[in-house]
Amino acid sequence: MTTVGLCQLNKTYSRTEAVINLNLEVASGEMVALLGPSGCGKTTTMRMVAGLLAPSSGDIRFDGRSVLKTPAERRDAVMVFQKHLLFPHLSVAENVGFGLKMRGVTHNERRRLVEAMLDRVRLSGFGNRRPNELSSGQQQRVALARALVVDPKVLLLDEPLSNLDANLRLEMRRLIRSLQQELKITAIFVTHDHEEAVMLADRVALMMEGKLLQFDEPRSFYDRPRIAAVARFFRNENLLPGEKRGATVCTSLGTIFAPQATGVADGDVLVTVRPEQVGIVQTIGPNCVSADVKAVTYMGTHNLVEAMVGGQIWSIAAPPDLVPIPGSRVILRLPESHVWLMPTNVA
Amino acid sequence: MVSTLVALIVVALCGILGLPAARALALHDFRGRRMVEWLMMLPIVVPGLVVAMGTHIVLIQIGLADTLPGVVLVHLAPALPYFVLVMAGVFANYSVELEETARSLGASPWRIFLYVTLPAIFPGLLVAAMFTFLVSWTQYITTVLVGGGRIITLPMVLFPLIGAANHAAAAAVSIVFVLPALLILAYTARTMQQDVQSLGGLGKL
Repeated sequence: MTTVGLCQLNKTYSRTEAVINLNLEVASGEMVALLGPSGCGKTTTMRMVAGLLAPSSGDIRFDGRSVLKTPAERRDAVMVFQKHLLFPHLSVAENVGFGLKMRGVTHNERRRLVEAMLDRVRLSGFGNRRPNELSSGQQQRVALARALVVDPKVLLLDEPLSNLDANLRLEMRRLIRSLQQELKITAIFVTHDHEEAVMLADRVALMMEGKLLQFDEPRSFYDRPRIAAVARFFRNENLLPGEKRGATVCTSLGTIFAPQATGVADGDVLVTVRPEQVGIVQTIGPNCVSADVKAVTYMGTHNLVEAMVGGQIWSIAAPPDLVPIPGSRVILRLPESHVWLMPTNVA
Repeated sequence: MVSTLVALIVVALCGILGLPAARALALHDFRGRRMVEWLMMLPIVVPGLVVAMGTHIVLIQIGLADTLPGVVLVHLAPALPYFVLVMAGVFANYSVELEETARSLGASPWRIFLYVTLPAIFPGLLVAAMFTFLVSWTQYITTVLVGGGRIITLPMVLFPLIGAANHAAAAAVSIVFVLPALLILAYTARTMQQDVQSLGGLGKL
């Protein structure tokens, strides 16, 4: 039940700036995702929170108090890695009990807590097995148990599900989420998968090239991406440049009404509508633009229609039985309620 | 016996010097690493006699010739590279993140070494120690040269016996001489049959 604060956090290596002026607040009991492509600085940030890496400048605070001077082994910020990293020479029970042993918990008490936690991760009775006898899903559950049993101030998960196959991943996500909420542990996890972030986190921090681009509830990344780079990461590359005046935008393809897009100044903007919200219609009405169909790909749940809109390729997720002909012209409807505007020059 | 004493001391010194060296070579990429690796292998490549002659001169100057410490030092030359070579292999297969995990669970550096590092590398460490023991145990020319006849190890008893055609005595001493090697061979053969993981990365041998 600890709050975590990152203040003006910086990490610079000799030739690269890995983390730049990061400011982040994680509320008590909250699960925050550090999301971004490889090399964006998310793992570096996590390691600094854990105390395994010293920041170049800035502060890290637990419950308002700086922990920069506290060494990793006393920070109580337990990290679960991508590789399960169970101690190969210890049994499952001894692995889970390791943190308790380091804290001086007595043998009997340790056994009680370990058994309770193994129950929670649905591995009762596995205590005497060795790590190399377990499946990867089981190993990851042991790693999770090992981290949770010490009731840490902060739980740090570094892409813990990347090594698991898709079915296991789903199961593990549910387990992690339910345990985290049940035990009310403040948690930060690192992932490059935006779906995973959206599914697990209370709030998502999207990082790119060391900078924090947006820190918001998952929904906001779909409805209100702050800049084009954010939209793009969440699979929305539909952009149409225009000039905003009040609640309307003048574009090369006509006037678009954007009543929802508050917070963007008048002037040059980028109009965007998510692929799932763009409609293909028969007649021109308000907020409609014409587009040339370039390609149609069947994706199972929908048809991916790629069309040229004012010089840019837009993607539309059309119903699977709607199949426009490539080369033909279609009318796209941009629903008022789903038109969003972003600044043209990236901040 | 002198041989055993010398060999054991050599192993101990190799452990103290070699472990950090092996770890550094395997886990850290630093400038000049290739050069260090190459230099490390020199004592094995260069004939023992040459090494011994060169060392002997230095040892005389320091005043360590004809002494036990002097012999130990000379044995270190061929022994250390073997030790470091084996241990570097073990460390290469070792996950440093194991230590980080232990750290974030609350283990201080010393406890990490005791509870995590040592147990994880132990099988490989044992093999490295045994090889080192054998290297020292079988040193002949180097001991003769530097020991100057004062420090008498088993090979120095054995080879003259063979040369003098004293077959009975030579046979008896041979058995003692070969014994450690046989025991070590038996042990490593038995361990090799176990799960590869238990060897801490030496399984490819």
